[in-house]
Amino acid sequence: MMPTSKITSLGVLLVIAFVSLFIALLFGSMSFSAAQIFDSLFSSAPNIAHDIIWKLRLPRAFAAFACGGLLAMSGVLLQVLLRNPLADPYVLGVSGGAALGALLAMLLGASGAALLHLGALAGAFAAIAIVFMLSFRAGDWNVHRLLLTGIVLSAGFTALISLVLVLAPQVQLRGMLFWLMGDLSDAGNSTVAWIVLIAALAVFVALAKNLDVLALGSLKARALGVAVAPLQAAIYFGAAVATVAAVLLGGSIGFVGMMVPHALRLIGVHAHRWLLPSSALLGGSFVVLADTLARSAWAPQQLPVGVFTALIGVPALLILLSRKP
Amino acid sequence: MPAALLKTEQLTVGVGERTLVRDLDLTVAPGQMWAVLGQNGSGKTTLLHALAGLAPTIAGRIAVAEKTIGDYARRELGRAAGILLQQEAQEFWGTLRDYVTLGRHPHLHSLFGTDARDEAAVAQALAAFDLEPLAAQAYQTLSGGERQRARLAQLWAQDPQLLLLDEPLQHLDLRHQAQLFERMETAVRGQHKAALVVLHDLTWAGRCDRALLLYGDGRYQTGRAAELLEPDTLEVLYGCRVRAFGTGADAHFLPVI
Repeated sequence: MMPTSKITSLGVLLVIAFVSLFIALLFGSMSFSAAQIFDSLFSSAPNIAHDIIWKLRLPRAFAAFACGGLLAMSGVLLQVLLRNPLADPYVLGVSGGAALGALLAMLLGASGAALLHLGALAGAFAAIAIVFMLSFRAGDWNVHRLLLTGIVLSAGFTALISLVLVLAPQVQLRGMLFWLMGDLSDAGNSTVAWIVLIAALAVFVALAKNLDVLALGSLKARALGVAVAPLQAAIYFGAAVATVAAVLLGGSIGFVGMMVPHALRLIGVHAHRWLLPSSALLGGSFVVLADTLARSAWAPQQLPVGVFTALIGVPALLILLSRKP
Repeated sequence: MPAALLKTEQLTVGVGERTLVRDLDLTVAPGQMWAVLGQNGSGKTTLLHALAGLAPTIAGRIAVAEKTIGDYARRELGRAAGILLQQEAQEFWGTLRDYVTLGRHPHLHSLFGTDARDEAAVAQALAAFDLEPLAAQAYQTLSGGERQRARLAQLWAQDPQLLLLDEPLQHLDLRHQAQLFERMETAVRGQHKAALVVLHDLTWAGRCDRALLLYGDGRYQTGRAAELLEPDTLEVLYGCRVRAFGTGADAHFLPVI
């Protein structure tokens, strides 16, 4: 595709993003008309609609968008780093560490969101540090060792998480399961996540040409003038921080990080300077729509968003895969 | 113009515990095309990787265009020396033109892409290897020989002074083998580049002016290709009986079974 068509597709994704955010405002346990939403968005007359939209739906939609954008971007980065199309943000054990930390915090009786976040943050950074120390030796990355270390560590976390679930008292189980499945109903302020998303996008779009070359393999990339080891370290930490930011906001929302980059590649977006922002936009819109479904399909019952990302994502990706190239 | 595009002093390389090339002193001047010959596993690829700064050395010094390779920034080295790898990743999502354009990476000035000079270099490289009709095709749809030409075109787009080619003839049909040698001769003789070419086809090795013979146990031999390419030397090098047909530039060598 020529750059002009890339710009067009980025524009289309931007429109999709705004539409998805608008849909998120439109649906919920209380229904409002589009006119009511515009009214409350652009005027400050205090009424129930105004409160629900500004205090509940808009923050949650923004949180969902940031989550999806971060996960999809992180997926792109890890697929380049590990040179493995199956890589997703969770493959390096970051989310496993975060989940274990959060669950332990719950088990120990932490009730406030702050303590929960602290536990998740500690778990995530422990995972990042372990993987990094075990795989980064003498300035030389072995991508296979990195992937294996992450997978082994994830398996360990999964076992420990199961253990916590078995030992946890009944009343806490539901909260824990929601956390594990990915849930945005407790998502609070998403400012930090947005800052991480925008900063990481800026950095990696600037490095996009290097990522294109790195996708050919590290030997080739070095032969073409890329300083591979620092770039790989930057990708690793960038992807890890993005994953942590997303996981803290919405738990382990599955499928976005792996699916969104592939969906875009299948429609012809592969150069990283287009793939990264496109993934962030599509991933964001996708999670916003999935979360809207999650909280309105069985309203007032709220379902975990992770269920819907997979329920929508699986058929969508299967259709794209079965298309003739 | 530098007096030597490549100079090694007492260079020793190996893999694991095995020393493959010991104390290599090699000077490659502009305008020279070297054939690198030896048995499988004799260290041809390891040496080429070391010369491109892609593999660690055991001892010695490597200078590209009279500057030690350790003193180069990666991008700068990518403009001075380029390597055709024997193997590389097969998956690439873009078109053939996208692939060849990646060769311009060490030259890029802007964050956001190529300028007119880059595009001219890519167009020339595509034309040099008959790839223009395929330029818009997805790289994944190319055949083995077409991919090999794509890799060569990428190296030509990179346009380094020192060309390191690891088995460039693999997958190429006769016509494109000849075309590659024409391109190499133009680059070396016309543009004062230099090339080190790993070959197994001795007929083509005869087209090079120099040869570097690697015996795999640390020993090596350098000299004029015309002098080194004769049955006695080749029998020791390859460990099999060799018979020569014809003489001079027309000499052919076949193993005696």
